[in-house]
Amino acid sequence: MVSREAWTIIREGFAPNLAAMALSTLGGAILNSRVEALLALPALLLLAPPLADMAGEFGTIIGARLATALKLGYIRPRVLHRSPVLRKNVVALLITGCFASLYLGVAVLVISYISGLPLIEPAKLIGVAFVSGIMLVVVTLVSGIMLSALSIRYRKDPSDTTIPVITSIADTVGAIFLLLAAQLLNVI
Amino acid sequence: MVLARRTDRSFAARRMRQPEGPIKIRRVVREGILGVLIATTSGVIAGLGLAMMRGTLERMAGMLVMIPPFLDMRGNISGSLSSRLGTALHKGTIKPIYRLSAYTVQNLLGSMVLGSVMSVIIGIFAYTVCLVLGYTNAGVVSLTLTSFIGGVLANLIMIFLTFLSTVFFFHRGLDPDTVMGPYVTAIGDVVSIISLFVAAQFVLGGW
Repeated sequence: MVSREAWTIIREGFAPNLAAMALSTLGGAILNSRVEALLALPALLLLAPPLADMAGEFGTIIGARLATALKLGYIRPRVLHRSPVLRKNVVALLITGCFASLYLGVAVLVISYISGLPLIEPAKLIGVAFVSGIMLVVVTLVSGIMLSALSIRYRKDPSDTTIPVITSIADTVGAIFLLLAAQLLNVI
Repeated sequence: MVLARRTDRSFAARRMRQPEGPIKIRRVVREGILGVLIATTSGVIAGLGLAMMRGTLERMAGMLVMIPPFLDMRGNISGSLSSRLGTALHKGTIKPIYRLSAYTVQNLLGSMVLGSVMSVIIGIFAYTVCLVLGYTNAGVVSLTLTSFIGGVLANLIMIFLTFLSTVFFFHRGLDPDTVMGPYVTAIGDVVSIISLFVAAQFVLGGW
């Protein structure tokens, strides 16, 4: 028997899930536009989920960190762009992004090699992971900060508003940057 | 006059100066890197599953369109569930025992129904996108059935795993609000890809 409690969960969860689904499907549609190339080079296909996960994690971190800094009074909303706290967070997360993108490239290379997937030239595979990873981290941070600033302006908690939106944006932008980096490095 | 204005400006600048806060770049990197590497590693494992099922992706055209929303769904459904259960445990609404109270059952049921409805919508939406963009696709029935069966399977596993893990972590003195996020991401990716593969094989008549 479904009670009011369960109906509330379904009713309140439906709209955000629908919006997230619509945005993420765009990411899937972008990947599908080069489906033949991705199926021929499965190492690239392998990159798609971790790129989205990595970017989602960065969005979560920046949203949560800005929310905490705001609540503790380390950030003043009116002069957010000049905040040393924001600058330090961005620098720290860009450094983390460089490490994570490099790790992603090496991990995908090792996994492809161990599982016997058709290999792409190692330097190119690491290059695609690194370039798409860095571009994605930059976009995630910029959109995370903008969404947090908007949330602060409208007196909403950035951790409630920024995180779900960023995760879905990461799927779409991740797919675009993956294909873009692969084209830039002449992989597809 | 000029001096007064300068003094005013410097005072205003001092007043508007941002507090530094106890932020150390090295510390943020050290604390953030673990979560990012866990999320990336689980993503790589899910990616490997995706690369391994490329034969299925070839046979079921259009399936790639629904992979990102499908992977996201378990995070949204199980993430919200663990957050609600975490709050209920902190408030004492439910006890940290592996027994299904009426509150827990309704929470699991709500998540399950929402997950199943979303799975059907993902299939239909993926088909519509394929149709609009002119992508070759396996048809609305195959895509929707795959998404629905995969979704029910993934949600069934993830919802019960989320309940058991939330209680387990709370029982061990860990805050589910902190631990469950990366945990749901890591486990959910793998469970979702395997469930979708099983569902696609079933729909394609491979089993």
